[in-house]
Amino acid sequence: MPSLKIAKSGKNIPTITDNRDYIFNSDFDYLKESSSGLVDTDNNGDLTITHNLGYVPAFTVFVADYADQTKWYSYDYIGNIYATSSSLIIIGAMGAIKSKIHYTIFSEQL
Amino acid sequence: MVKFKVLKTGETDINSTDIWRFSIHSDHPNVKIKLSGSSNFTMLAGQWDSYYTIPHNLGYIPIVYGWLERSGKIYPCNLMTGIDDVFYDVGPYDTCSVFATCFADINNVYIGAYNKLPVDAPAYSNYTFKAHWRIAVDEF
Repeated sequence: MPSLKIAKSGKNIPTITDNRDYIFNSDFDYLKESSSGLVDTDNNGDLTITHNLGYVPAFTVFVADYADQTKWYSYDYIGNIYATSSSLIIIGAMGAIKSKIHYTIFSEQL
Repeated sequence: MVKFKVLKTGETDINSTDIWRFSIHSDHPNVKIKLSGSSNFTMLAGQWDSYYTIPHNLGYIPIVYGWLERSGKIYPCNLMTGIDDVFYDVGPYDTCSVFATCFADINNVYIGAYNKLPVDAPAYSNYTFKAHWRIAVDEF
């Protein structure tokens, strides 16, 4: 099967031996975005995002205090977070206060 | 130099300087996934941590994404609290604060769980987890 390859500046595809030298190479897989959004939790930091993919997808989430969105945090600032085959569920963000959530749900099944 | 660009659905300006509008833009590297997979592992009763090891043999530390599954729910690594249905052995059925963790060295990626709180509280019984990973050829 033909491949689509894009080399980094200064690199020549026929001589590349280190895959880090590709900008893009269709021989590899990529996380492909299914949905994403910037949304609010309730006043307890809770939020359920429905994806209805029918399987549990790869996902990432970042969180900020609703009153201070200059700093964004990863999972350690969320009381609990998990995905099921229908939803992404966030519990107690930022110590259980109203929060801002940026999420990305990928097409890739875990 | 020739550029290769693919716009996301709904975007119309191929000359945009907003890189997020593109699915692919040849000026900006994509995170290329080399290894994907899932595997069960067990934290035995009496242990306070357990890890699943995935060899990558890249010779450098790659970008990695990890998740940890337990009882039909998939949690992101690194998450310090709240994996349901895991208990420690000091007063059975008190819930542990389980840390779902993922880290890498130049040879392996490690995905696991350990009982963050209470400290030194071993698992009450055997608990099976499932590690999920995406390992890139790209490095930090």
